[in-house]
Amino acid sequence: MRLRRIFFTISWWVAAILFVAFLAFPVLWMLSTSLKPSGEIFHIPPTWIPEHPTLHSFTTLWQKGNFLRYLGNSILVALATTGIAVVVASMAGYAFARLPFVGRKSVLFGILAAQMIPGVLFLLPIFMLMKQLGLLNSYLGLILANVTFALPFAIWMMYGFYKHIPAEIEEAAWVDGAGFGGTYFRVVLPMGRPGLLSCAIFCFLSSWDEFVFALALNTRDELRTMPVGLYNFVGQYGIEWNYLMAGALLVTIPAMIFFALFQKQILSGFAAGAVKG
Amino acid sequence: MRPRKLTRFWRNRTNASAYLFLAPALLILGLVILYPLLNTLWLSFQHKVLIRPDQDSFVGLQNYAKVLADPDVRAAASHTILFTLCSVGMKVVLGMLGALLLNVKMRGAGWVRTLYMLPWLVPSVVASLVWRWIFNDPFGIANTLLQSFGGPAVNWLGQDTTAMFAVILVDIWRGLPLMTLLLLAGLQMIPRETLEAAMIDGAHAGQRFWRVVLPMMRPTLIMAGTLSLIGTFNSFNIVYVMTGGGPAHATEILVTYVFRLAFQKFNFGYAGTLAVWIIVLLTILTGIYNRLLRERGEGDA
Repeated sequence: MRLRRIFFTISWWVAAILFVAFLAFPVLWMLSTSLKPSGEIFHIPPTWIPEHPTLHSFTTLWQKGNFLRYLGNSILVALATTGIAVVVASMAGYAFARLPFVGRKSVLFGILAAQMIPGVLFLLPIFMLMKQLGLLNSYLGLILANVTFALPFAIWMMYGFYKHIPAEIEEAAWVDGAGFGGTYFRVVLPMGRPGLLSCAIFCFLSSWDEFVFALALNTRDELRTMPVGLYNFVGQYGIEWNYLMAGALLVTIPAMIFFALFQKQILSGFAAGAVKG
Repeated sequence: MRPRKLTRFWRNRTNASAYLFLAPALLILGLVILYPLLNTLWLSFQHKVLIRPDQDSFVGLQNYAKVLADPDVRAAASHTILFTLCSVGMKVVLGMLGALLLNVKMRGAGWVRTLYMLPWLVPSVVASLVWRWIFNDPFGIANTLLQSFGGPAVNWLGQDTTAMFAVILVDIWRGLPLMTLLLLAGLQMIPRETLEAAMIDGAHAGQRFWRVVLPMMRPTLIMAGTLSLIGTFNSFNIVYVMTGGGPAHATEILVTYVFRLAFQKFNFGYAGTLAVWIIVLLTILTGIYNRLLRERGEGDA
């Protein structure tokens, strides 16, 4: 029995290491490349660990180029997207969960379907719409687009969340004369904090990842977000991979910090959003 | 299921407040999704090429027939099927293994769980750039690895089959954490007693997996699979950044083809028609997904 236990532990770790090797390797390779001096990038065969590790790529990115600007833009757009989307999704999710209004099911299905349509199919009409509204080359236009594409899943998430909160407390508040808005702001919102947090994290990551609209709606360099900045970097200089990987690491780290801080909420919130609906 | 029970209480409240709470969401979705949807539909009935405005005309359903007969669409559709099925299949199999792995309580396993989620945190454009560097010929690490096992140097992104293999691999890499997460949630819903009962009956691990775990996981597997199918179908960023649909359109999938039609060929009308076809297809898939949710008795729409 003990032998079997040891055998099981060993095979568990072998499997775990295989999985992690596959999943974590590219990130480690990103780190390794970003620490290499320019000359070492083009060694054949490549060195696994930098022979002459240096922070040169990072300091260069810091000084020249607009990388700080891109990073700041990404953060600004993601935070604004998150703020707006969470408020709007929470309100809508609550209405869906509590109020049996006419057409509720069809609207919910419409939102689910909207979530499944890739944004790129709407790039052209949205581009023309933003042009008409004068929102090309503005933060607001991109934020509006990002909010829209985060919203469907966020609404479903909040809807699933509120549906599982017992409604008796709200009824009591209502009977006490708090009214719909009062009940929502004084009773529901404070109770909904865990749901709001997972929703916020989802919206942040979704905006952080967005590429096509940031590429198309904002063509002025000072408005670019990190993914677009990195993508353009490929065409710009005969690809200096060490700089590129340093930038890649810089844009991945905030997401990692976010995840490390809220791991529990993220994991449970996502599973709830997709599986329980 | 609570809201249904509460109906009588809530029905007496004003419906107006419901609409007030929905208004901001519906306004935004209406402006940035419904309007573009109608706009696309309108475009799809027209012949409209930006660089030839003299030819603009209303052509009814002509574009729709053209899409069905277009060899480029057929090629893109078959690439999409290959790409989607391979990627989703591998994600489901590996995700199931990963979920079983993460479901075991093991000392020091917290790190495994955290590292496992890593690809999900790398923005898709960044992930694609990193993998492009890994597959670089001749400086990439993929060839070094291959050659250390005595393999040849491969121009990964420069040949049809290897380029397809590469984009599928990257899609699996990035989608595996979420798939595992969904399956893990399903795995944890299996009651402990059921497994213990099987154990007492003398079923060994393999039997327990095939006879107990897998049948009970069926609904979760089908649902996560459908969700992943839709997500993978839409994998624009990875293909666009890794290969741009190349070499020679070998990795062109439907969504990148629509993009190319609209923004490189400026054939707005035709691109709109293809977009409508894709949306119809996705709505059907979504309907299936919704049905599956409902069958589990947890969805509500």
